[in-house]
Amino acid sequence: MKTRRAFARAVLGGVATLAFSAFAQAQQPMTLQQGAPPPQQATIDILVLHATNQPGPGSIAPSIANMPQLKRPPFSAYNTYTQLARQSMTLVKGTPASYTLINGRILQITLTNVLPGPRYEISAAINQPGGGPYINLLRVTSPPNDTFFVAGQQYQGGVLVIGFTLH
Amino acid sequence: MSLSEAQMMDVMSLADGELEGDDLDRTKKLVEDNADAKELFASLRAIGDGVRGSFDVPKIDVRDAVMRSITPNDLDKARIKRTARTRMAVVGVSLVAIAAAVMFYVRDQQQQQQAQNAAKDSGAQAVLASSLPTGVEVDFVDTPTPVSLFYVPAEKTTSGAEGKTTETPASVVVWVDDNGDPTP
Repeated sequence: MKTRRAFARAVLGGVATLAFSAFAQAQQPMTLQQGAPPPQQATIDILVLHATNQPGPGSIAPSIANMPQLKRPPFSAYNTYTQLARQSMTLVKGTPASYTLINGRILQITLTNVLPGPRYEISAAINQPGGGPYINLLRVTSPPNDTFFVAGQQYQGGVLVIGFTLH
Repeated sequence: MSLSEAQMMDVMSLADGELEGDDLDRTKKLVEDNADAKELFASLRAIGDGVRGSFDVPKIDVRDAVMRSITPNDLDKARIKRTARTRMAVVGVSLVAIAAAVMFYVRDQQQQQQAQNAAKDSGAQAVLASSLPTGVEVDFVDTPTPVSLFYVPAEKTTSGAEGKTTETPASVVVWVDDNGDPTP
C-alpha cells in the first residue's frame, strides 16, 4: 500500500511539474517579445485646404505646390487649392485634443495607441457645436510622416480638405 | 406403556414443538392426563436439553477457516501485485497524457494570442482602406452621410533644372460630403 501511495505521489508530482513548466514555457515567448514600449505621444500636423473650381486651368497655392496628390483623383475634381490653415499639436495617448476648423466645426482627435514601428493609432471626430455630427468616429493607423486626408465639407463654394500627418 | 403408536408420535411431536391447533391442544391434554404420556414427554425434553447443552452451535465460526483456505498463495500475490502496478502505470500514463494535452492547449492558446497581437501590430486586421506599402490604414468610419474612401498612389516628381526627384508616398482620402454626395 505504501508503495502504491508513493508511486501515485510521484506521478502526480511529475504531472504537476510538467504542467507548470509547460505553462511557464508558454508564457516565456510573450515576455521576450515585449520590449521597451515606444513613447506614448505624437505630433500631428493639420493642414486645411480649400478646394474650388475656378474658370480656366485653376491654381495651387505655392505653399502646397509640393503635393502632387492634389492633381490626382479625387482631388483633381477641383482645379484650385488654397491653404487656409496649418497647425501642429502634440497628442498624448488617451487625451483628446481639439481644433476648431474654419467653418466652426470642432475636430477632436485622440492618440489611442502607439504600436511598434512606430505606428500611430488615432481616433477622430468632427462635430458642429449645437448641430449634427459630420464624422462620429474615424479610426486610422498611420506610420510617421505619411499624410491622410479627410475631405468633403462644403465651404464657400468649394470643399475643405484636411490633411493629417503624424510624426 | 399404555400409549398407542399414534399417541407416542404426537408426544414426540409436542416435545419437538411441531404441533399446532387442535393437535397441540389434544396432545397437551393427553400429557396432562396420562402418566405414561407425561413421563415420555419429560424424557424427551430431558434428552433434548442434554443434546442442546452438549455444544454451543452459535460459537462455531467457520469464516476464518474459509478465508484461510482461500488466501492467495505466493503466485497469486505476485499476479495481484503485477496487476496493481499495471493499473497504476495506466493511470500514470493517462495523467501524463492529460498534462501533455493541457500543455499543448496552453501553448496553442498563447500562440493564437501572439498571432492576433502580431496581426494587430502589423496592421493585418480588417481595414476599410490602406495605402500599403506606406501603411496608412483607415480602420473605421462612422458618419451620418455616405462616405467614400480613395487610394492615392505614390508618385515621383522631378523638379528644378537639376532634375531633383521627390517621391510622395501613397495616401488615403476619406471623403464625407455634407450634401450626401459620396463622390467629389
